[in-house]
Amino acid sequence: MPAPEFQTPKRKPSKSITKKNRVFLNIPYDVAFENLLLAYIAGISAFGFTPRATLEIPFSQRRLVRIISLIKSSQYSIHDLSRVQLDRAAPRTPRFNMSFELGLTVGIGAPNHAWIVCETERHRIKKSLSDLDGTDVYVHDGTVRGVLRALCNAFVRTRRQPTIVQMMQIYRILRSRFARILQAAGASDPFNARVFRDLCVLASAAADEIIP
Amino acid sequence: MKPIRVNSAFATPYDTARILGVSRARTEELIKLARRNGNQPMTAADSLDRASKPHSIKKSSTSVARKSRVRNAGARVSNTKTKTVKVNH
Repeated sequence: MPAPEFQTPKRKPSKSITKKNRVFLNIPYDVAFENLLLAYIAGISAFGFTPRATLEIPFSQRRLVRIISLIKSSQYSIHDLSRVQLDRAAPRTPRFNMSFELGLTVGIGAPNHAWIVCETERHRIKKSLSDLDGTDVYVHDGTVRGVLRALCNAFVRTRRQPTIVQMMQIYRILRSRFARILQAAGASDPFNARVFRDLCVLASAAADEIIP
Repeated sequence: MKPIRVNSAFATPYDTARILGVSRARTEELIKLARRNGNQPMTAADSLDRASKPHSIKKSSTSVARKSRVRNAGARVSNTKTKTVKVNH
C-alpha cells in the first residue's frame, strides 16, 4: 500500500509572532532532568509558545551578554530551582546558574515580562531562596505530569487552551521520536543546541496538530 | 495563584523554526514526523496516563475470631491478609 502523501500544513506562518510567544526556559542541564526538559518543551509548545534556552548559545559567544539578550527577547520566563543540592562531581558545588538567571531576569525588570518559579519540593525554596517569600512557586514533584500541571496553573489561554491530556500526547510524541532526533544530531543527551531546536519544532508541530 | 492570561497568537511550527533558526527542509521533516504520530487515535491509556496493563482487584480483609491456645487467653480477633487477584482482560 503506498504511503499517504504528505499534506501541506493547516496553518501558514503567522507574521504577528514577536517576542510575545517566546518563553525563556531556565532549567538544570543534567541527564536526570531529561524527562522534565521534554515535559517543559511539550507544555510550553502546547500553549503556542516558543521555548528559548541558553542551550542555543554557541560557546564562542560572550555567554552573559547572550543570556541577557535571550531574557530580554522573551515575554515570559520559567525558572526551575529544583537543583539546589551539591553535585557529585568533584569539587562538589551547588548549581548557581538557575538562581543567577532568575536574579538577572528580576534585575533586568523588562516591562511586561512575566516570570514564574518552579520547584520539585514544596516549601524548600523558603530555605534555599528566602528572598522569594511572597512569590508563588509552582511545585511539580519532579514528575512529567507535575510539570504539565504547573504550566496549566501558570498560564491561561483565552483561545486554544490545552488540556493535560493533550500536553501528555505532545510529550509522548517527543518521547517516541527522541532517540531518532538524538541520532540525527549525533548526541547522547538533549542538552545541546541542535537537539533542543529539533525538539521545539517537533513539539510545536505536534501542538498545532493536536490542539484545535 | 493568579494565572498569566495569554492572548497572543499561537505559534506555528514555522514560527518556532524561524525563531530558533531551523532550516525549512528540517522543519518539513519534523512536521511530518509529528503528524505521523499526531494522526494516531488516542487510546484510553493516553487519556488516563497509564500503560494498558491488567489491573488488579483487591479483596477486602476479613476479621476472624480465634481462640488462642495459650493458657488463660481469651478469644483474639485477627485479620486475614488482603488478597490481590490479577484480572486479565
